[in-house]
Amino acid sequence: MTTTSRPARKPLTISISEEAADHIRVFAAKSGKPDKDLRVSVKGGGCSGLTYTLDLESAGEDDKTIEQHGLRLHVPKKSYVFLAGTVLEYSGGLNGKGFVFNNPNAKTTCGCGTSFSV
Amino acid sequence: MALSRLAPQLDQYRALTEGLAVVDRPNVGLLRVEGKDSVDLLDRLSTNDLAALAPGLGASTVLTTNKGRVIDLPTVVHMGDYLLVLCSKDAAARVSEWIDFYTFAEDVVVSDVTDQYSIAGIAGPLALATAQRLTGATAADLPPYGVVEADVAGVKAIVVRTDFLGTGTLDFIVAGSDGQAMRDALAGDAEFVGPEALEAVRIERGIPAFASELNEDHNPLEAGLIDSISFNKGCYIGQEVVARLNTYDKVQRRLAVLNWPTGPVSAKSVSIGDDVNGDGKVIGAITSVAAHPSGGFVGLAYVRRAYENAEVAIGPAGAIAALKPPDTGA
Repeated sequence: MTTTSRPARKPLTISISEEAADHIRVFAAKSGKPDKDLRVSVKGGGCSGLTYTLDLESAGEDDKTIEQHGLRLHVPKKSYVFLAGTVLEYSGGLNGKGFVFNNPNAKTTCGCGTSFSV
Repeated sequence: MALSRLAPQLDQYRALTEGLAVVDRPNVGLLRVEGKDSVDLLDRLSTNDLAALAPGLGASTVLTTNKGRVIDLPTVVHMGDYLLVLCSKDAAARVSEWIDFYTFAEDVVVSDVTDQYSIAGIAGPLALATAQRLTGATAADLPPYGVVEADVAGVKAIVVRTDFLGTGTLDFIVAGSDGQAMRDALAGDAEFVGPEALEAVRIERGIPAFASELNEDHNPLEAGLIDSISFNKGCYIGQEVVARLNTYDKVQRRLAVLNWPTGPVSAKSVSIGDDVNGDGKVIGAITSVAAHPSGGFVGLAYVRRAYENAEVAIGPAGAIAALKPPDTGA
């Protein structure tokens, strides 16, 4: 009998790296909103059709909430289908890009990296 | 309008180019876009800068795919508590779905209201002055793509300067049941003009139409829609491609007007899709053809830029036609 290994399934959650979570906390403190959570969503527009948005705010109605590295991430239901599997990372240093979305659903991404199409 | 009331083609042509013409506008679709985020969303989805739209003002803007190809060329007018989007009737469902798809958390609701209205257009050098007289509006009230609401001979009309046939042409949008009354009110000293003469003038002026010239095979710069594009507004869908084409001068083809005389090779010998040949090679393809009311034929074609002012051979029989860039001045 032979067994075949199934390809790894795409993770359907959204995650944040520890470094990105640390930077969110620093930014929240500087903005005077240390008690707010991170809301990650998608809106129409940008060169490729869909644009990522990051806000420091509480959960909206129907949001899915994920807790990681001591940070709560809220994702609106309609945005979730475009973000499932995304890892939010932070690219620091002189050549860094800041917050970076590594989104497996993105077929194309615009030059600045904030817009994508699926 | 009754076809029996139409004058000979040449008279219709003169009304469109030298006087005042009333035309049916059956190819226009109407979308009502409501909600506080409507302007912001449409600004993010299309080429022109809509951010400053205020009641009474409007803009021509292009919906493009993320590859910078044309979906449609709507006119968006601000009606105060909603936006009225005049699009191509055959594109109305696509435009509506496109806006809907990109509506996430925004307060935006789109509805297709095409069937609720009847639209008559007026064109010709006297059109703008006639619209001002009928509506009581001043020239300042009707800038390009501006809108006024007025009673015209007892009929409530939304009057939009859509410039559908070049500068100073307007659409009168009325309730469906008022369509004939509005046409009668507009008739006055005007000539009713049918679709053939209208199409000839559209082609002669190089005005692109949905499907034949405006489609996902072409970008807005090829179609000559640069006036409907803002290059400093920021991102919109397709912006990266459109900006690159413009910045690096990478537009390969342009829409051009062809005309050729009546002769052994008639319009029937030249069809949409036929090759345009220059220097013995294919340099483009025909997208529209019409008999010209004053004789001969006119056509539109996307051709390589080097040939914009050349003499070319068209169709299987190789009729010789002159090419020139579009001129949309009334």
